[in-house]
Amino acid sequence: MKNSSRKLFMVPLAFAVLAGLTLAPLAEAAGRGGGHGGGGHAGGGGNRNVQAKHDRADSRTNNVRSTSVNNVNVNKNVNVNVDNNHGCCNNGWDNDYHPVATAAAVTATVAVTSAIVGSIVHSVPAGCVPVNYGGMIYQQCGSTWYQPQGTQYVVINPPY
Amino acid sequence: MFRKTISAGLLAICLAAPALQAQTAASAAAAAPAANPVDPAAVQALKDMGAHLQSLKRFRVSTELSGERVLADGQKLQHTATAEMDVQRPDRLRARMASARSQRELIFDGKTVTLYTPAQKYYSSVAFSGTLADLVEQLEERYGVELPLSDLFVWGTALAPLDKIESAMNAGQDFIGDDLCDHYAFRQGQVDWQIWITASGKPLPRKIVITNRADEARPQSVSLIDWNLKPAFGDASFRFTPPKGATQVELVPRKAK
Repeated sequence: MKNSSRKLFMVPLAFAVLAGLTLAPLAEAAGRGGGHGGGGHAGGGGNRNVQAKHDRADSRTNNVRSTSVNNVNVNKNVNVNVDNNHGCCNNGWDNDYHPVATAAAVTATVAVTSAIVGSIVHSVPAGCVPVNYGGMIYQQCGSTWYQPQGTQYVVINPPY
Repeated sequence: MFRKTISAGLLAICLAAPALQAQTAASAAAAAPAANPVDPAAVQALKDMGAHLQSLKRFRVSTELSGERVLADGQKLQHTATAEMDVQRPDRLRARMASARSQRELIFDGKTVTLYTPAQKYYSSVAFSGTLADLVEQLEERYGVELPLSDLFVWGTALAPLDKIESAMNAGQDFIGDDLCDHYAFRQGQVDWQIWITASGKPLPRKIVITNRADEARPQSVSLIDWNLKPAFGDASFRFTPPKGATQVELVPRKAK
């Protein structure tokens, strides 16, 4: 009994040690990529060598509700005529993100013609036109719209 | 109008004071804060900071932001972004914005605003003239484009009226980095917000927290702010020349839905 409990304890420990060994080079690489401007400096951050990937993100992360206004500037929200969130855009300079919350409904109605909203592709079809709306670049390909996410693209509902 | 309300309230307290003394001192003390939820000293701190911000001619400011998105079931996801801005009043600005999903720049040379996406070398330019406060307002209104830390350009101007604040209080002091700051908390409409202003020397904002009460999950943003009041940038920082292979992209005005 005593023996087996010790074994149980040893297994996760061994795993942690192994994981630690394999993670170390990754952490090092990330450090090199991000360390460009000399650490401890807020902002900027323009020159990263490593791309963040989103293809493994759970699809539920796209299901953002409409009341989820991202407030990042005080006066934009309390003084400058606050418009409803449905009209436009990203509600914050940081929010380079287009909610695809209505994915199910949209794909049900237009599944015949378009790519599925929320799906991720590595490149867009030929003949797409880049459009800047709300400060974000989208690719319009006929009736299908894509938003760049790092090196990939996610199919979104038309932004306007 | 607002002033009058305050003095009338003050008068009422003065008149009521002898009567209250006859009762208990404790109830008088408890009633005092409710008489005016807006602490004038907290509002004055915003005014002083705004005046100082408007007096800064050249600076570099950077920020690290954590924001929140609320999923359909109320679960929140936090994300981060950074921005750095070179500013020269009245009408020069270069902002660099970065997150896990994108990197963007916004350049204003006093005549033209350009939005640039370095990864794909896409740029959009529109003519614009005005101050940085005008730029903040018009970019949002016409194109739905929001500037990082846009409050820095608006505080101390008519675009940031302070008479609609419903609650204002001093929340003590705190350190942001090595800077001792005065901490204030405000409430207006569906928004609660807090600010940390450097306590010694000229007043500069070092941290801003905004809580959205319109969503029951109360998504919140936290911005940490770093200042360089003797920046090394030159005029070239505010010029945009499309690099080789760059493509011009239409900036579509925002649509009302």
